[in-house]
Amino acid sequence: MTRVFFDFLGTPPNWWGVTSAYIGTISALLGVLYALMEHDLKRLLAYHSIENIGIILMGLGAALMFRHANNPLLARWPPWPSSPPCITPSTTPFQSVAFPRRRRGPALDPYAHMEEMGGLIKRMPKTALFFLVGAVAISACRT
Amino acid sequence: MQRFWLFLFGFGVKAGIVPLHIWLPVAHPVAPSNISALLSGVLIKTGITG
Repeated sequence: MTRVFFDFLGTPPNWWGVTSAYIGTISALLGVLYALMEHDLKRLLAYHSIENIGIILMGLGAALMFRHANNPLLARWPPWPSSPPCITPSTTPFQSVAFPRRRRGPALDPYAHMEEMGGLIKRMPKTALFFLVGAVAISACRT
Repeated sequence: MQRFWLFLFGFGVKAGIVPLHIWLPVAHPVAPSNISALLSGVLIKTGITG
């Protein structure tokens, strides 16, 4: 999307940015609401990446609007949350760190539900440490 | 006009923005977990990068 909208299609009309920002807002809101309802760890992380995509799309829409308004300085600023050097460190580590807990989990406890997990630090201390880092990252340190 | 919607739809399915996100919560639990980490970390964002 970034490459097509910014490099191939030229200066966009304003409503492209407005529409992208609205869709991104809806995606972020609904994604996090679905994630709140979820008890399966993997489905929760799936909904969480939907919410992440929404936030990124909001930045992309803002950049399109600034670009329409011929404000190259501001137009360069908002898409950086959606640029690969930024999104890769901001989203990949916590998800890569959070998923192995689910992978090794069922071998030791057969539950997919988060409420029934627990006592991880006693059985797998290293995984528990990395999962803590992932949980901190997923809570606050995004985008 | 149509270009925008078509590109938004096409990349939106890959990125998983909300009306087109339904494949994601289905795909994640059936994928092996190491692939699942790549799925949400890298593959979805390629839809944004385009």
